[in-house]
Parts: sequence; C-alpha cells; structure tokens
Amino acid sequence: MEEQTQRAGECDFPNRTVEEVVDCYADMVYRIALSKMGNRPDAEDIFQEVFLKYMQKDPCFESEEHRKAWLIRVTVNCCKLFWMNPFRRHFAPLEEAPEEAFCEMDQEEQGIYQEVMRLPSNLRVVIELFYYEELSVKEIAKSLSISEANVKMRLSRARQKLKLNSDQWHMD
Amino acid sequence: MDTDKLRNTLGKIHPDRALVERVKSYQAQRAFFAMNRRKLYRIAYGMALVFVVILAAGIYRGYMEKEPGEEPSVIRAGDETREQTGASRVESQNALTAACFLEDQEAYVYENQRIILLDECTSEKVEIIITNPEEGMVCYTSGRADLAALFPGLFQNEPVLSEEGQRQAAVLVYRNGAWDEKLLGILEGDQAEGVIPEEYLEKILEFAR
Repeated sequence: MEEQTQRAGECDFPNRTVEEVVDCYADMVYRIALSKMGNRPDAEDIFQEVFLKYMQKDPCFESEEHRKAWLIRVTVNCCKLFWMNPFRRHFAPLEEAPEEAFCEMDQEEQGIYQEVMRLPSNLRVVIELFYYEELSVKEIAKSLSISEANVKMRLSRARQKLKLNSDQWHMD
Repeated sequence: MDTDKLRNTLGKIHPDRALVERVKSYQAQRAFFAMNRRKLYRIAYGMALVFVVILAAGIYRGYMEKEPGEEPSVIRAGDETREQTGASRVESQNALTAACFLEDQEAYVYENQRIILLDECTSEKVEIIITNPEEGMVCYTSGRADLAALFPGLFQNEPVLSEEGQRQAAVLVYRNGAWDEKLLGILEGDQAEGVIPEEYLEKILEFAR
C-alpha cells in the first residue's frame, strides 16, 4: 500500500486500486483475449496474465485513456506471446467445434456470436475494437502495430463476411 | 447484420465472475510475498552459504584422506599423554614408551593405517588414523588421543615392517620380561584373518627373542 501511495504521488494521474481497474476493464480485456484466442480457456489464461502484469509493473499513467491503451496493447502482446511458445506451436484443435455462446444471449445474438467467432482472429479483434470499444482506426492501428490502411482493409473484409449494413459503417 | 445488434452481442461477453474475483485476490497475495521477499532472500542466501561451507569441508576432508602424504607431519595427541609421560608434542611422535606407561590400554591392529584403542576401564573406543608414519605420524583422533604415539613407524604402507617398527612391536609384545598374551593373541588372530601379512608376527617374535 505504501508503495502504491508513493507511486501515486509520482504520477500526474491518480492511481486506481487494482480492484477498481479489474472491475472497469475486465470485460474489455476478456473480449479482446477471446477475439484473439478464439476459445474461452485460453482467453481466461490471457486475462489473468494481463492483470498479473499490471500488478507486477504497476505502471504510471497520464490519463484513463493511457491506461486503457496500455491494457489493450498488453493483451494483444500476451496473445502473440502465447502462440510463440514452442510447446504451443505444435498444438492443433481436434475438431472445428463451434465456440459455445454465452447464456445471456438470445437466439439471434447467439447466431451473431457464432458468426463473429468463425472469423479469422485478426479480423475478429478489429471488429471488437472498432464496434465495441469504439476506438478510431488510428488507435486500432497503434494498438495492433499495423498500418491504418491494414486496419481499414481488415474492417472491410470483416464487414463483408458478416454482411454488415453498409449504411451503418462509421469509419473515421 | 445490424451493427447495434453486433454491439449488443459483443457487450454480452463477460469473463467468469469467479475468475475476476480470483484475479483481484492476486494483489493481496502479491503484497504478502513482496513484504516477505527480503526475508525469504536472506533465508535462501543463508542456506546456500551453509551448503557451500559443508561442500567445501567435504571436499577438503576427501582431499586430506586421499593424499595424506602431501600434508605436513603433525601429531594431534591429547595433552594427557604428554602430562603423564613428560614427553613434549614433538618427542611423542616417536615415543613408544609413552604408550607403555598406560597399563590399562589395549591396542590392536584393525587396518593397515588405522588403530582402534580400547580403554578397558571406560570401554571407550578411540580411533586413530595414521596417515604418514614414515615421517613421524599424522593422526586424526576422535575422543581420547592418549595413545596417538603408540605405534610410530609400526604400521607403514609397506607390508613388511621396517626394522624400527619390528623392534617397537617386539618391545610391546614382550615387555617386562613376559609375553603379552592378550596382544599376542590379537596379532595371531589378525594374521589368521589376513589383516596383517604372514611374515609380520614371525618377524616381531624373532626380534623379541
């Protein structure tokens, strides 16, 4: 606690407790992890790892946006590192079983969820960041370390696959 | 597909509540370990140090036992011997007479370079390892070391005794004008078991006559 108070004094932006941060960003981190990993057990592993890193590093942030960007970036990096593990490189799914939908979803939402989960992971994460986290193309490009043109292309492909209504595209 | 529906669907993705609670509890666990980390490091450091010291002592002891010839000739006899015999530490290296004054001691050969002394009064066993009998004796004793100088030159690495060794053994076996039957019996027993060479006892007896 002393350490935290001291660090809070060093930062311009007041530090929040870990509990507050977990409550605030748990859904976001989990959604990104799920969209990158494609299955819940791996997403849960990544979820834990991201918040463990947050506790270990205890970084200083200038704003809430800064904190959010840090968490998105770390989640994406953790997902990349997960597959870089030589042990996991030899993993392959036994069968292409559809990911089970969440119980709160109705019939239609379950269908949408299954469609989203059928997308390749690089398209899924862009959809998640753009439509739910409402990040701009520029912010997504920065978070994923890809070009803006690449983000736009991925969004376009994802929309085509999901058959999203073209009049509802909000690309800035 | 409607983007609002997509957004609603994505909004219903939540991590398991138990998982979130577990992650929150990590902070408390981490605080505990951070608080005790320094203590844990000290304990680990201390244990490592003790291990290194024990290892070094073991290696040194092994070295001493394997290559005794290279070590300096030192006799580590108890002060009691010197007090009773009046012999100095240096003199006691070659003083067979020192042992002869201690009437209640019985000595017999156990190995070529090892003597076990048995005190009949206290039934105490004293083990003496003679590592360099050529240049006096290097003795490492446990318990009483009164008779560290009992067999100087007697138990050498060579199977055949030196002349000095034979003379000293003969004095011990045949002392005060009579045979020491007990010691003679022990030597005969050792000869029968092959602990000492065959010509060992013959030479001693011949010398005594």
